Amino acid sequence: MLLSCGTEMTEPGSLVPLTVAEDPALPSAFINGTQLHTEAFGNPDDPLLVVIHGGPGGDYRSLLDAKAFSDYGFYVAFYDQRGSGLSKREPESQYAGENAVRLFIDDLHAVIGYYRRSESQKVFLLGHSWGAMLATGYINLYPSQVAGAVLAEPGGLTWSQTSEYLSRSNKVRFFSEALNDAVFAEQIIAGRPEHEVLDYKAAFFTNYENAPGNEIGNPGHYPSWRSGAVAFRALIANAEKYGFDFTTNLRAFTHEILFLYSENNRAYGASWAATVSAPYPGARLEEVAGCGHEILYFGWDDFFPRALRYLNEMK
Amino acid sequence: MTMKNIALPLLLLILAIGPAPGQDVNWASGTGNRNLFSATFGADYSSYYGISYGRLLQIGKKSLVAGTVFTLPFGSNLADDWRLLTSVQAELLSHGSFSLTLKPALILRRYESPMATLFNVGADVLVLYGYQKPGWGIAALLSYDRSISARITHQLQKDDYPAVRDGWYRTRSGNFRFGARLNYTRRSWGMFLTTGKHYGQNFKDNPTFPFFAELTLQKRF
Repeated sequence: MLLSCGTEMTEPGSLVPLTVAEDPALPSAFINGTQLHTEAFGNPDDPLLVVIHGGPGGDYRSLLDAKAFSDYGFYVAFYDQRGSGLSKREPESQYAGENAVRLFIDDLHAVIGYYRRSESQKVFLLGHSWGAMLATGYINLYPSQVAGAVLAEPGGLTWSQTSEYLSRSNKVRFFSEALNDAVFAEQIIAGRPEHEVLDYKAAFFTNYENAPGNEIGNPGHYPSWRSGAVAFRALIANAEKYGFDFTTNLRAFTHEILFLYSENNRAYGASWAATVSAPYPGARLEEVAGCGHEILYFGWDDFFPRALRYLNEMK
Repeated sequence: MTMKNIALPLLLLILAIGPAPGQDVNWASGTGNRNLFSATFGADYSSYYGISYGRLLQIGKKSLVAGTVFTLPFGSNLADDWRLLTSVQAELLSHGSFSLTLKPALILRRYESPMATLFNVGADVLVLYGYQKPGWGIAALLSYDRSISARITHQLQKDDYPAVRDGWYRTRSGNFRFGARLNYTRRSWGMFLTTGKHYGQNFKDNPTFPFFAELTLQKRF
C-alpha cells in the first residue's frame, strides 16, 4: 500500500507554489531569455528604485514593505531572480559556466531596461544580502547607470570575503536542534533530481537560519515564496570554482552609497561593514537598530526613514 | 510528539518483532551469548545517539541476527526526530576468515521542525564483506537507504503557502553509503567503528555532511 499510495512530490502546486511558467495570473515579464516574476509600484516616470532580494535563491516577498517608497516619489520595481521565487525554473546548466554571475547582472540590466522610461530617469538600487552583492556587481560594471544604492549587509564583495562571512554566519552547531531541523529530513527526501522537490527540501534550511540563538540575529521566520534550491546550489558551487570580484571598478562610481548593517547580526557588525564597504569611494555606514540580517523585514521601522532620507538626498 | 507518546508504539514494535539482537555482530566470536545490547553514538545527517537490543537466532545450521536500533539526534527536543531500524542479518558466505553479510531492514523515521512534520517509511539493504577473526575484524560496507513514503503535516510552511497539501507523499528515493567497519571483541564486550561517505542516489542531491561515523559499544550476555 505504501508503495502505491500517496501524492507524487512533483505534482504541481502540492508542496511549493506555482511559478509564473505555470500560473499566468502571476505578474511576470519575459526578460533576458527567461520569465521573471516581477511587478512595479508608483509613477513610472519617477526615479526608478529596483529592489534586489537575497539568496541566491531567495525571493522578494519579505521585501515588499519597500512598496512604501512609491508613496514618496519613486517607481519601485521588484523581481524574483532567475530560477528563484516565483520566477521560472531554469536548468542547472545555466548557472554552471564561468559567466554565471554575469548572467544575473545581465538580468538586472534587462530588468532596469524593462522598467526605465528614458535615459534621464535616475536609477537607484536597493539590495539586501546577496542582492546587495549583485547590486555592487552591477555598479562595478555600469557605474554611470546608477545614481545611488542602498546596500543592506552584503556578505562580501569578493568571493573570499563572502566565504569568510558565511563561515561565521552559518557556523555549524553540531549538537543543536537547529541542525536537526535543517538536515534530518535529508534521509527522507534524498537523491531527487526534480527542482520542485529540491526547492521544497531547501525550505527546511530556514529552520537553521532562523532558529533561536542564530548568529545572524533573526528573531524568527520571515515570509518567502519558494527557495530556488538549484540556483542557490549551483551559484555557490560556481563561486567556489571561479570566484568573483565586484570591486575592480568601483572607484569609478562617484556617488555616495548608503551601507547598512544590523544591530543584532553577530557575524556582521560595524567592523565588517567597514571592511566590505571600503572599495566604494563614498560609503555612508549606518546601523539599523532592533534587527538582524533580515533588515527590511524585521527592522523596517528604523530602516525606512534612513533609506528614504538617503534616497531623497540623491534624487 | 513527546517521549511518552512514542514509548508505547516503540515498545509494541519491539515486542512484535520478538527478541532482537544488536545491529552489529562479529560472527567469528561464537554464538554462546545470544543477547546483545548496544549503545551507539554517531554522526551522519546530524549527530545522534541510540540503543539497540536483540538476540542471536539459530535456524538449522544458520545463524541469524534480527535487531532493532533506535536512534535520536542530539538537540533540545528529545524525541521530535527519531529513527527506528529493524533488521535481520545473516552471514551469506564465509571462506576462511572472510565473510559476506547481508542485512535488510525496515526503517521508520520521524522528523519535526517548525516548518513541517514528516513520518517516513523506508527500507535499507546493507552488505558487509571483510576479514573477521574472533577478536577483531575489518569489513567494507555498502548500503542503500530507500525512503518509500512519507506523511507530511505542515506547520510554518502553511503560513508561507496556505495551499500546501498535507498527506502521504511518495518519496521514492534514497542515499548510498560506502564505508568500512572495524570491530574489536574481548570476552562479552565488543566495539564497532563504522565510517564512510554517503551520497544521494543520483550522486548529486547529496547530504549536507558528506561523511558519517558511528561508534557502537556492545555487551553480549
